[in-house]
Amino acid sequence: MAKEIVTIKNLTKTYKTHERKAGLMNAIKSLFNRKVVLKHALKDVSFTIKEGEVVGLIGPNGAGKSTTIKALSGVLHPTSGVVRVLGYVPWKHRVKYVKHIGVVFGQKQQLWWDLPAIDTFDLNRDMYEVPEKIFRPRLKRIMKMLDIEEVAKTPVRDMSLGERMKCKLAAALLHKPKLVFLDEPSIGLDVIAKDIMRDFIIDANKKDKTSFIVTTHDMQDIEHLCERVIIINHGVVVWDGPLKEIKKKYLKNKIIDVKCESPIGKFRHKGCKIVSNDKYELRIEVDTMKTKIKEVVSHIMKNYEFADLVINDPPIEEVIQKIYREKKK
Amino acid sequence: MKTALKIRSQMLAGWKVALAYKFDFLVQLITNPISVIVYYFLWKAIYAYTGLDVISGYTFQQLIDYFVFSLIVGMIVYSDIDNWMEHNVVHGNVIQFFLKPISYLAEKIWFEVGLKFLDIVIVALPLIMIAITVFGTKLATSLPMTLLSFLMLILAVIIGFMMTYLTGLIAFWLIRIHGLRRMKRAFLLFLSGGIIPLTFFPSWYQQLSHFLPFEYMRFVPINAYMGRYSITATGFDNVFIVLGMQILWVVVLYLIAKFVEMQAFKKFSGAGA
Repeated sequence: MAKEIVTIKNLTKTYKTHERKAGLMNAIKSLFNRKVVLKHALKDVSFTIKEGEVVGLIGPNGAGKSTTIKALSGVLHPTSGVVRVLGYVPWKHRVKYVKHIGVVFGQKQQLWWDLPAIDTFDLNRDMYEVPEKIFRPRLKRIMKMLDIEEVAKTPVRDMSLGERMKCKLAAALLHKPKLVFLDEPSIGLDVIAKDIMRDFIIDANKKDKTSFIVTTHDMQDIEHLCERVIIINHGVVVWDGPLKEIKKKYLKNKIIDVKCESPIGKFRHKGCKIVSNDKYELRIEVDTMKTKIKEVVSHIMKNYEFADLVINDPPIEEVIQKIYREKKK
Repeated sequence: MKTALKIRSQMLAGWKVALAYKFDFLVQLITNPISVIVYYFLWKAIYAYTGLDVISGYTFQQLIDYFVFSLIVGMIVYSDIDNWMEHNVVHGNVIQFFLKPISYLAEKIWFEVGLKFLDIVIVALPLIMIAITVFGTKLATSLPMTLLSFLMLILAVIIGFMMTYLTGLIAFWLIRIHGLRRMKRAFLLFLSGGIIPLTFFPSWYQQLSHFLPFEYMRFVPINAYMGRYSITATGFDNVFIVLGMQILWVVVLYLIAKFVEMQAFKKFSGAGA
C-alpha cells in the first residue's frame, strides 16, 4: 500500500475582485466607486494522492486547476479547508516545504531571465542543498534526456518558448523532489518536444518514484501520462477516477472531420452521427462501441474524394457535460 | 552551513546578473566621477568668492573629501531592489521567489549584495585612487575610527536597504511604483546629505534629523570616517550615541518591514496570486 502524500479536505478559496465595465468613462468612475465581486475559485475540493501516482487535473479555462496547484505549492492561502502535503501545511511551512517539491508554471517565468539556464541549475544546486557528487551526474542525465545540453548555455531571454519550458522542467526536477506540480507543461512544445517531455516525466516517475500532478488542456498528455484523472469545473471536483473508466464511459465517441473538394452529398454509416454538413466540410461523431473507426475511415476513403481527414477526441467540455447529465439522473 | 550555501547561491545570482550587463558598469565608471568634478569647481568658486576658510564646519579640502566619500557611500548604500520587486509584481513572477526554500527578504538582501559587489570593485576603488591623486583626498589615519566607521557603513547599508524594501513592498498594492521610487530616491539623497552636508541645513532640522533615519545612511558614517565624532563628546557628537541610534533604526525598520511584508504577502496570496 503506497503512502498517502497529498490530502485535501474541503478546500475553499474565495477572493475579491473589482468589476469594471469597458470604456473610458467607466474607467474614471471605477477610480471612485468600485464594485467588489466575490469570486469562488474553489468550492469544497477534496482528494488524496498516493506516492508514485501521476494524476491529471483537467477542466475548462478558469475551472480552478491553477488555484488548486497554487494552494498545494504554498503560494496561496486558502479561505478554508485542510491541506497536508508530505506532512506539511504548504502555506505555513513554505520555506521548509518547497525544498521537497518541484513546480512548473507553464505561463510564469521561473529561471533567471538574464542568465543561461545552466547558471540557474547551478544556483539551484546550492539553494536546494544538493551535494555536487549527486548533482552533476543527475544534471547531465536530465539535460541529455531533454536534449537541452546546447540551449542551456544561452541566456533564457533568448530561448524559444519550448526550449524555456524544457529548461524549467529540468530545473524543477534537479533536486529530486518527491512531488512535482506541472501547470500546463505542454504550452509551446512541438510534437517531438512533447514526446521528449512525456518520456522524461514517465522516467522520473518510474526511477525516482516521483509523484506528479499535471494540469493540461492536451488530452494526449493525459492519455500518455496519467492513470488517474480529476476533473474540476467551476471549482468543484466533478470526477475522480481512473482514466480507463472515463475513456470507457465518456470517450466512446470520436469526432471525424472530413474536407472535400467536391460537394459531399449524403453520408451514412453504421454508428455514425452527422454533427454538421456544410457541403464541403463534414463532421461526424462515431460511436466506437457500435463500429470501428477503421471501418468508417475506409468507408470514407472508398466513397469520397477528400482533401483532409482528422480524427479527434471530443473536447473536454463535452465530457464534463456528459458527467453532469449522468449525475442529474 | 546550510544557510551559507543558500546565501552564496543568491549572491552569485546577483553577481552574475550584474556581469550580464557589463557595458552599464563601464558607463558608470566613467560618469560617476563627473559629479565630483562639478562640485570641485562649484565649491572652489564659492570659497574664493566668500573668502572664508571654513563654511558650515568644512574647509574646502574637507568638503571635497566629503563629496568623494559621499559618492562612494551613496553607491554602496543606494539600493535598486524596489525596481526588481516592482518588475516581479508587474510581470506576475513573484511566484518564482515564493517557490524557493528561502525567505523573500533574505533572498532579496543577498541578491542585492551580489549585485553591489561589482559596483564596489569596479567603481568605488578606482574612484578612491583618482580622488587621492587628483583631489588630494586623505584616508583616515585612526584605525579604531576607521573600523568603527566601516561598521557604521554596514548599518547604513541595512537602513537604506530596509527603506527600499519597504518601498518595493508597496508594489504589492499599487503594482506600478515608478513615481514613488523616484521620489524615494530624491528624498533619501537630499535628506541623507548627498547633495550638501547636513550642517548646511537650518539648525532646527539638524536637531530633528538626529531622530530620523536619513542622516544615518550617509552623513553619519562619512563624518565618523573623517574623524568628526569622538568617544568623549556629549550628545550626538559622541560616536557611540550615533552608533546606538543607527542600531535602533536598523531594528525599528526591520520590524516595520517584517510587518508590512506580512500584510503584502497576505494580500498577494489572498488575491489569487
